[in-house]
Amino acid sequence: MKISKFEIVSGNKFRTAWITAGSALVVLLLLAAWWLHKQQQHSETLPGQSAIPEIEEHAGMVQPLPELVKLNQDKVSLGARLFQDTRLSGDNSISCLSCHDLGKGGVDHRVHSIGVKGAEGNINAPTVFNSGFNYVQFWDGRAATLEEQIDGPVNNPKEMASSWPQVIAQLYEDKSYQQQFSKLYRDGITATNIKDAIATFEHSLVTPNSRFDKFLRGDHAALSEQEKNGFALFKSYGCASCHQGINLGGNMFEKMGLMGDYFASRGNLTEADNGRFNVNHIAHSLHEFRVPSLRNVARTAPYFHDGNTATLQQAVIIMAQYQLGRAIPQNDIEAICAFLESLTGEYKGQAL
Amino acid sequence: MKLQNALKIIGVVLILFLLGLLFYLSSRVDAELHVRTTERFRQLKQVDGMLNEYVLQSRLGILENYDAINHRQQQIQFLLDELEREAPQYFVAPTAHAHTAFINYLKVHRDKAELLEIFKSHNAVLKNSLRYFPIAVNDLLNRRGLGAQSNQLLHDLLDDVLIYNHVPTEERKRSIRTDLAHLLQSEHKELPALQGLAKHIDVILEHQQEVSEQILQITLAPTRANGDELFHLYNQQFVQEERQANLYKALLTLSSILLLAYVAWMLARLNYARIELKRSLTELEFQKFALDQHSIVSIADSKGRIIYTNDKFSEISLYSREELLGQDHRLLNSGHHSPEFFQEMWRAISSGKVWRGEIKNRRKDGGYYWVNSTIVPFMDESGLPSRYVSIRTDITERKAMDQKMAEQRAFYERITETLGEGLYVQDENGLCTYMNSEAERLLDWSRAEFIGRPVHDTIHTLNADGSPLLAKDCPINGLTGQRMSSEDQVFVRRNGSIFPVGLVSQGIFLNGKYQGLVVAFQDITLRKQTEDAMSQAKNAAEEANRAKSDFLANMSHEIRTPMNGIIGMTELALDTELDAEQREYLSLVKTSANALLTIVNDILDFSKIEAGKMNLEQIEFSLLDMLSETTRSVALRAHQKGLELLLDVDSGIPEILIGDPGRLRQVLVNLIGNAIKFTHEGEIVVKASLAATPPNKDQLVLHISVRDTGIGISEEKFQAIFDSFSQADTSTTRQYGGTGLGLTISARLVELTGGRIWLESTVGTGTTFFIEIVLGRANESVQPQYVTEPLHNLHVLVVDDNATNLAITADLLRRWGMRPHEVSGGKQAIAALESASRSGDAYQLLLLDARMPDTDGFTVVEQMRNRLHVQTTPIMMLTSEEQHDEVSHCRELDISAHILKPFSQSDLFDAIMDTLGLSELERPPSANRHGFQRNKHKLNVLLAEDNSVGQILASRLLQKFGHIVDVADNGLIVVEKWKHGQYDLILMDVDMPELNGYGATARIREFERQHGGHIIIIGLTAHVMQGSREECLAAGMDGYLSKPIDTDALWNELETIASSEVRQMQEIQEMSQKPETHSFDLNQALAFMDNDMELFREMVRIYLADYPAYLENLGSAITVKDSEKIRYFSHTIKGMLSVFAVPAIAAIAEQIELQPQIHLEKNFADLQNALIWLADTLQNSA
Repeated sequence: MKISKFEIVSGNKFRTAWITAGSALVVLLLLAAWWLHKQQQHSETLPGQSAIPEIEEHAGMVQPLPELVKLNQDKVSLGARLFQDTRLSGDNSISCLSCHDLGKGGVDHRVHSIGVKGAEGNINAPTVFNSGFNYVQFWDGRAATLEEQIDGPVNNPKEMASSWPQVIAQLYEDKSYQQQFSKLYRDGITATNIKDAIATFEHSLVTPNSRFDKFLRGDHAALSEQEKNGFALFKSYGCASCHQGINLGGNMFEKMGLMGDYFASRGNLTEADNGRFNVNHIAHSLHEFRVPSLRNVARTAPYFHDGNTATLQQAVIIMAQYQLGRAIPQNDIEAICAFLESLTGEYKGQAL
Repeated sequence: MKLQNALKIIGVVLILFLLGLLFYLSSRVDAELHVRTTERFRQLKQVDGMLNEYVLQSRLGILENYDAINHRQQQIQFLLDELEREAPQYFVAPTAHAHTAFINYLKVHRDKAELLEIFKSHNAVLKNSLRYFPIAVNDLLNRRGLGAQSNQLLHDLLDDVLIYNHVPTEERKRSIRTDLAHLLQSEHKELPALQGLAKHIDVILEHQQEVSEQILQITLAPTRANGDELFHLYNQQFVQEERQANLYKALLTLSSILLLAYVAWMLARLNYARIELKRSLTELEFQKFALDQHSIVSIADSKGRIIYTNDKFSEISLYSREELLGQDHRLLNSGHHSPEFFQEMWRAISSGKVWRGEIKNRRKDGGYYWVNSTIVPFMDESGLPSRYVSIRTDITERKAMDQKMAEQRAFYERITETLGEGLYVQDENGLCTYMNSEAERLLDWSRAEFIGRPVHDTIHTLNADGSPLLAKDCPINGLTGQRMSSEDQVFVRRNGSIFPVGLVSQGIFLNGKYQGLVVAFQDITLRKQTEDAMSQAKNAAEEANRAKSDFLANMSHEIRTPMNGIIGMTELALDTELDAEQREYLSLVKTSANALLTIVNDILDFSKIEAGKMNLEQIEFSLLDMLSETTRSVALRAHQKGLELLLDVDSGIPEILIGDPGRLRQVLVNLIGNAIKFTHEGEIVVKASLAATPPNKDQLVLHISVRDTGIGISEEKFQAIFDSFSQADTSTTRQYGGTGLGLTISARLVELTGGRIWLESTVGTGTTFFIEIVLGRANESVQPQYVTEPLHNLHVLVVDDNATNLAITADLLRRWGMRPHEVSGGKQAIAALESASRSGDAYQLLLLDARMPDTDGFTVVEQMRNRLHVQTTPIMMLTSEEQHDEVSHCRELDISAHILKPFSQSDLFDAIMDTLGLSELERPPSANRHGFQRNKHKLNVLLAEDNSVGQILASRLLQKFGHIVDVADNGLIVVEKWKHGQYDLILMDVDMPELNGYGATARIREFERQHGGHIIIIGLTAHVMQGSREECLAAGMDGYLSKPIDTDALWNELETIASSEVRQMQEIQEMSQKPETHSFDLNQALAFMDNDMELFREMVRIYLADYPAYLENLGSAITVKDSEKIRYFSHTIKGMLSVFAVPAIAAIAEQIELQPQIHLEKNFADLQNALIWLADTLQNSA
């Protein structure tokens, strides 16, 4: 035995050497693991397909609603639960469902919805059904997505009058929420996750199998002659210029009162009447509103952003007058209304 | 140390930090991301293109919905978001190269989106108006009441508007406006439909232009160019970063490899260290185990408190470990050592030095033990002792032994001190290691000075005669291992003076290796002086004694010489014609002279014994022969007194023994003589037997008893009779004569042999003398063997009136396998013979005692012959004395043999074998059986004697036995006579004038040495002192006789000489039988003839001519057994050979000449061969 070697490894030196070597090895291993992990992540996304949402595109004016939407059903359930949870409101009085009653065509049939403590809104509540097919949200299009849109009512003092921290604190007290969230989301209950769940749920609110869709799918018997006539009139009168696409609307802005001054006729101009101008403050956007979808239109009265029009025939007449610049015979109006009636679809197998 | 460790840790942390940093830096460039980003840009370009396409399609009415446009826009937005999200460092970060470009790019897209919104809106309106315009025109045309002009205008409008829609020109626009103005100025201007139409035309006119413009703006929006620029900028940054990252990557790889190598090295080293450590630990364990097994181990802390002890510690101190732990070692303090001792120890170990020492400790029970202790202090980092490890070995025993040895040493030193002798010890190099006080005193060297010095060179440099003595020649070296004592050495004192020493030295050896020497010595100056004086005195005394001995010898010689004359002359006178009175006187003279001679001899013997000069021989002899000869020599006297003299020898006694037969014979003669002397009737039995237990296998104890039926000796005289000059009774001296010295001499002689003599006796009944002597056992091969097979079952009749003799004889016969029938008288013998012839079991041999009371042996023979007609049975007559009448009686009766009583075993055996004609089967010849045959051979004797009486006496004596005697007066005459005569023997008186016997013998032998031959010379001397024989033999004589010459003694001497001669001759024969001994040396032969070749040739010629005749004559002489001629011819041949220098051949001839009775035929044959060989050789050489 050589004493010198023995000394080298004895005592503190020995321990230090071990620690040094050990920690160095651990670090190296960690680095290697990290690197490997990254490699794996990369390789998973490597094929390079961008996550561009691809939607089947048709040159035609309208396409039937899809019968099945692929969604995470757990998120849908959670969203559904949140959708009807009043804890999203400041005083636990209002839920989404309060104004977007799924049994009432996704609206509350009021001119303006009533928020917390009876506060009245300044614009008509649009339906939540098929809202996922709209290319922007709100009448003035100020939200690009459903998720964005949710911020609006929650924070709006006239609507739910709450805030995300408040909502999260409320929900956090519910163990079942904690479980549900932690099951679906790593970070549990957050504003983003709440909005994601609700938006996912809203994406599920699709109403396929309207008679019109059946017609579009080739069932000519699905529509009556009058309704077929109405559809033809709808196209020929120029309604279809704006109300086109899968949602028969919801994919462009248009000025309310192209052929006549609607607001002058109506009176009581409000800030909400400014429309898209409120969003971009461009002159030509004044009174521009998102063209609303006509799906289930027969179930979502009163009509227009001001909820000022109670019946479908009246709405058709106003549209013809101010937007098309013409008067339409009563027969044609009835036919068009009949056609519009055929646009009512089904939710969970039940007609709205 | 700590700083080093800290530095090390910091170093490692730094390296790790560097590694992390490098890793971070190298992983900042994400190739994946780059690929994706690049793809995004491509997609953006693609989607943007599609968007433009959709816009055109939409304008042209090919695409009927805006979903597609929205989707493209969404896609573009998504891609932009992705870019922003995924690679903010390239686009969002203010430092990014493409930061501004990206913001521009986003703006361009935003602007384009806004344009698209406007386009969608306007396009929808335009489309609606265009669709409705024909319908509205149609409605107006169909309306009745419109004028033709108005109709025309409507048609024109319709055409113009539709054309304008496709080919928008200002001219057409003006035309349309003009037409419309005309129409509106017509009678139908109030018509709502017309109003509506006007509105739509306005819409078409305005929107067509707007929409076209918007399409232009949309499609020409710089999205593509901006995108390319953005990508370029992005790529620039990426490449730059990638380059950097590659550098970092390389660095990272390098440092990783280095780190890995370091770790590997570290691990390897650790592993090695671990193995080393493990091994070391194991080794340490072993060592500790071994240490614990051997040593007493304890560990104390810095304060000296015990914190560890091993089992051995408890074992020896009797304290349990619990009692010891925490204690101070003072617990064990025995008080033997001074406080300074411990202070010294503490000083050493507390300063970090290892301390060794021997400590006496106290056990728990108060006993003490010694340990050899080694204390090793272990230092801590600050250099102060933290632990004291003590390893001890129990040396109690050694200490005790040391003590004992010291005591012993002191004891021995005391002894050497009290010895009174000087004593010193030197080591193997001769250096002094010890000396005692006496040595100091004697040598005048102090111990301190002398020890370590070379002893020899200091004190022993001189010989006694003063010559220098070198160390290598020093006799006091002890190397032999033997004890050496000397009184011849001298030692030198310190002052250089010399003194003689008596010393005893003994080498000391250890395992066979020389270690040194012990010398004890004393100053013998005084003793030397005393010794010198004593030596002188002794020499004087010895001189006186020698003179006395010489006087005695001379006296005996002087007495014996006249006695010789008296007796010899008396005997001669008695052989002459004398009258009865003269014969009686002369007989008395002879008897008296003999008595006087006996007395003189006895006195001589006695004085020799007394002087311690009686030496005993140790020679081989035949006990039986000696006994039979002895008894036979006195038998005559016994028979003259009518006594039976019987010899009974135990057959178990080996025949040949070693001892002094002469002295034994002297004793026996004395005892038997006494027996005969003191017995008037009855028998004398000499019996020899073996004592039970011999001292060893080479020796035996012989009992000889002489029993008589004489007057007896009273018990009180038993011892006295062995004393000098005493007989049983002074009266007996008067009655029986004698000096009374016989028994004394016998007793002394027996005692000299280591035996004893005693007697049993009853007054009036008889006496038995017993001798017990120790004799040597001769070599087994010398013992004669009796071949007794032919005698088996032989039926023998033994007749003897003496019961003892009958028993002895029958016993012998039985032992040889015969069937003896014993009868004790003649009548019984005849009866036995009768009954035997009747029964048919006839006797094959008769042993008859001649003399028996009523019917003697001869009568028995006569009766047997005459009455029983038994003629052929061999008869052996046992005669008691050699009397002519008995022998002649035997011859008359034709009795086969007679044997003289007392006979020995061999006598009887030989006689029986002879009688039965079985002699061929006799026992093998024994060397000493041969000799001169008494009375059968006449010797040619040269008598050298200066004394005329002696001359006459010896001559007459020899002549009386038929020998031829030639007398020489002195040595010179002897030599001369011998040279010119042919003698068998020279009787040489040693004391002669002119040239004494010794000188004459020397000359003869000298002459013989030159000329070959050997004459037997027997010395004659009147000196009977011991040493005469030796002197004679030393002078070259063959034998020795004391005067007066006794014929028997002469024959005995001749026999002895003959036997030795035969041995010598046999040796010569054996030599001569070897062919190579026939060697002929021409040079030597020539030298004999003065190198005269002519002479040599002449001699050869003579030899060749003469030798066959000589050989023939010798052969015929041998055939007729003419010894005279044999000797003559052989002698002649020998002389003839002598000139040719062939001693070996000459020796054969000489042997034939000198001892013709031995191997005559063979010798002759050898001589014949040798002579023929010589003849050939000589012929060749001449």
